[in-house]
Amino acid sequence: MKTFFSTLLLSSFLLAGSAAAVEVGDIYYSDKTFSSSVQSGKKAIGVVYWVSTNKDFGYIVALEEAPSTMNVFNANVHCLEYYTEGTLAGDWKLPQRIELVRLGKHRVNNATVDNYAKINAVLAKVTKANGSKATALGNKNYVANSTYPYAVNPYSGAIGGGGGNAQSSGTKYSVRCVTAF
Amino acid sequence: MTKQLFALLLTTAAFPGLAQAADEINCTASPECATLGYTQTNCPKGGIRCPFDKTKMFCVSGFGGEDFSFKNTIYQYQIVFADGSTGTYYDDKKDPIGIITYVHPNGQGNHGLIMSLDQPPVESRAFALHYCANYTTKGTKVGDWHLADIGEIGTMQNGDEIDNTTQLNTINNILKTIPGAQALGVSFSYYYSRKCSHSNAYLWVDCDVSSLSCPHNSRYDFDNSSRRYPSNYLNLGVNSKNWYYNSSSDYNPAPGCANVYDDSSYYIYGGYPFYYSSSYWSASDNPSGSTPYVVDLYQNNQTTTNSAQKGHFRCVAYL
Repeated sequence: MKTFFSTLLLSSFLLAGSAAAVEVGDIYYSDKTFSSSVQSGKKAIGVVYWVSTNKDFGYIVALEEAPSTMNVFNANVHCLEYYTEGTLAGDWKLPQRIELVRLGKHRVNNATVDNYAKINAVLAKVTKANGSKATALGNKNYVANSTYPYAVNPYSGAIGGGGGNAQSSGTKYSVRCVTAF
Repeated sequence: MTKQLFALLLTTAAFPGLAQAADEINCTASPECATLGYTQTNCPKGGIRCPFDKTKMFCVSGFGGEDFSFKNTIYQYQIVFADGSTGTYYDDKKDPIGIITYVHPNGQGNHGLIMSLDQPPVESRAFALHYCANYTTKGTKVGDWHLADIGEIGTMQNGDEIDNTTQLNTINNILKTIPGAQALGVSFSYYYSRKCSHSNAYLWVDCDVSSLSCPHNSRYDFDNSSRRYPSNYLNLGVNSKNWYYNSSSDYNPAPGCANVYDDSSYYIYGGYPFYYSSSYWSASDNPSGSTPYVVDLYQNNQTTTNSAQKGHFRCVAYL
């Protein structure tokens, strides 16, 4: 009887072993793995900020933001050239509106999702691959990959923007690159 | 997924007394439910409870069918068929269910946002939420679809990407090739059942303007800088000179739909009322309040408004 139950439990583990679901707030590492808490010996490069219903795909935000505000043209270039340990230029992107609104506080059908607080709580614990601290999301406007362009404040969830997409545009915003799994 | 579900069913259904039995023989600690895949506490579409902790669940979309999944690499603007395949062109041997407006950027082309082909009549936001929550097509199930949130409806809007300003036009051109599919952003009628509730309700199609009598030859301003829909976007076979917009600031006829702020109340020359709108409900609310966001697909803007108004909506599935 013992053997039967042990075998049953073992088979359950083996069959379901690949089901580890990724959750919002999980840390993303340079070896393309995830964990819910800081793993020593691994190099963090991002934080999961949205997952699908089945938790099998989602978005990851970088641990740092561009060194200065940029117009959307330069922000787009910055993120296309951005890379970290374990990733290459082209692996990251300037978030589209669908990706950016999910990064911060937002409400869907009158239910508030405060990702600003949740993601910043994780960022406060994470060290970047170079040993420096991760950069918190700020109470400021981050630009979306869009022509207008749209900008989102993750603290308030407010959506605004403007300034056009010309390379010469003087309307600048904060920049945070994202990637996806 | 199938293997995992099978394992869960095996441990849960076939051996419901497993936890108790394991305690009795006292030979091994109960495994953590999360390790077995029971990571949820609530499953709106149904699920299986962990035998060791009934508060933990494994969510499934429902029994009796396979979950929808794409059968090939997907690309933006492709037509999605019920069998999970996608293609650039309509295939009359397959059942079309939507158009891909956004590809999940994981580089694999295996997930994306599907926009439904149906354009229901304008309705309240509550109706739109309920409609989309229960929407289904061949190949998909209830729960796969939802009312598009502000980011999702934005993928149908021109300029949603820095280097792409033709999303709406492209999507509508594709919709024209699919029998039964309905275009985005077009709403016109000679009447609606409700009266205009606010002078600034220019986004909405709930005004009963059928009883209005427009002063003939009052000020016309068809080239109003913010509204050019009839000439630019509607292909009604109507010469634009037959449309006009009354922009007189002191014109406010009973029951009062049209004034200077109401710049989408147009009238066919000769006095027949006409109303146009391209505003879409989103599932998103303004985080600082309780008013929902609406997106005007033609105006390329977004705003918030009273959810009791009537507006367009489109169901989407992010699969």
